[in-house]
Amino acid sequence: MTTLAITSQKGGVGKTTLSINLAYAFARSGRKTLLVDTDPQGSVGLSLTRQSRHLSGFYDFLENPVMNVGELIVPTRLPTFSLVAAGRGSAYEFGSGPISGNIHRIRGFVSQIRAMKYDVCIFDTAAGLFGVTADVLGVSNGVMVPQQSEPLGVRSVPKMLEALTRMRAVNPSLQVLGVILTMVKKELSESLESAQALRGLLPDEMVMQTEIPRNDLYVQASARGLPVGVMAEGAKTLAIFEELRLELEQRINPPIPS
Amino acid sequence: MNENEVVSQWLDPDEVRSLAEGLLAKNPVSQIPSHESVFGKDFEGFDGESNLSTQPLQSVTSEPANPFPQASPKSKPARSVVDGIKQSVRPDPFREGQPPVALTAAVKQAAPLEVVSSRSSGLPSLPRALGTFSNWLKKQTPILAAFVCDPKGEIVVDDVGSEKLIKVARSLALASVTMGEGAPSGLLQVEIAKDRMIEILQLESKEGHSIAGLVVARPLTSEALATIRRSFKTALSRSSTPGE
Ligand SMILES: Nc1ncnc2c1ncn2[C@@H]1O[C@H](COP(=O)(O)OP(=O)(O)OP(=O)(O)O)[C@@H](O)[C@H]1O
Ligand SMILES: [Mg+2]
Repeated sequence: MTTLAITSQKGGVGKTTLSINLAYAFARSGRKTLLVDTDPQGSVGLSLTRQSRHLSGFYDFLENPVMNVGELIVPTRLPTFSLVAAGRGSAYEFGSGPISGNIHRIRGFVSQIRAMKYDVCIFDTAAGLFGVTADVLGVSNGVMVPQQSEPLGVRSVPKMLEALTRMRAVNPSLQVLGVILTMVKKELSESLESAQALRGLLPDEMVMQTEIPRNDLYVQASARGLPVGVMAEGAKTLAIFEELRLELEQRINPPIPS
Repeated sequence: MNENEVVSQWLDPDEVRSLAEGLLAKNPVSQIPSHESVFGKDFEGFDGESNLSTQPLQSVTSEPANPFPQASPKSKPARSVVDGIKQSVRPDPFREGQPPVALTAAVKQAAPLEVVSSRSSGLPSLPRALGTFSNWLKKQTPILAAFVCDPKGEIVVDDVGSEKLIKVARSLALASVTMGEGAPSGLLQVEIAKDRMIEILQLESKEGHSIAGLVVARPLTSEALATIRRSFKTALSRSSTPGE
């Protein structure tokens, strides 16, 4: 099983949008895929199931040592696609330290879903590389960092690289799959310049070729609680995430079994 | 303004690139060794994970989820086995680089509990704990030197060789406690030379704050620091076990 974390220092850069749609792409490729919301704000659950606020989820698992992941899994209409909501996130007090102290329990989470024969597990995380997110990175095989294509976004790159370097000291097998540019607005010169600046700054292998364009469809999709690909006009976005999935599969080592 | 100007106003491209290249490297940095081995085979685990111990290797691949771990103390999650495997690798808690070879070799022989307990059965718990802990520190972490002061300010361990430096470090640590400053983790870092810093940790016990100073070339990872603290706690809890 491959576990991927989607993370960023900054909020609102498109982590949840990426997580949902990438998980959907993996599930469509036939992989048994689990999307796990580890953001105490619980936006994946919010997106995909309206009643998710009442669902038990990841944070309940962290707090309750006798809970099984099986109790938390929410199926979707696509049989290969399931999710785990964040759960009672708002009540959850998580440490502000660099490590929240949950890493062992999260390891237990991963070994349970491995036993359930999932092929891919995608963790959507809260912004910032500390606390529970740091622990999630401590158990993941790969990490992807969405980066908004705007000048302010580029400025945060060194911090992000430093944080990832620290994470790799905790988890040496964490593969940095790369930065992915999101909300790219081709007709806006600032957006294009920022994208180019980032590509100039980082080694090629660290920036995904695939870019996610800015498209209001994403906003509409998340309002309706859907991966954007299932929307009537969503065929084009489906193709983008399929391209991203293929690109990722070339990078992920060891490869995801098909 | 072209994109390169935009970038170089905010950051140092060379530094960014070297960070990025480090991240892409296949053989990164490693972890601090698990500290469990030093407490001997009968060691049950750390706070909050006392139901963990070792289990046969083959169960790693197919660990069934046990819904009632507490109810059946004999069933043990596999991760401690994984930890056990990692432990034999003896990696380095720094962000990069390798521990000195001699240190790596020494680590394998570590049995400080016995060393300490052979002459310490009558001692109160804290000095024993500090002894055990500092033995572990020296053997299991690739620090350059260390000192440990007990809550009264007595230097119990000193391979730093500078009483003055130790006193200064201790006063700094105490000042940060009383002023409520410093990192929430109770950690202070003081640069003492190029490529040398002391990381000063406050270690709490019911007797008060002990202070450990670790001379390192690069800052320890937060995971490494957490392991060091846990190790101290474990040493403390074990050395207060009656009849040991
Ligand atoms: N490519 C895109 N084009 C247009 N809007 C987008 C795009 N990606 C995301 N959005 C919108 O931007 C907002 C933030 O996106 P999202 O929730 O995915 O970010 P996030 O990084 O998960 O945020 P947070 O840090 O709050 O969890 C949402 O309203 C989302 O619908
Ligand atoms: Mg989100």
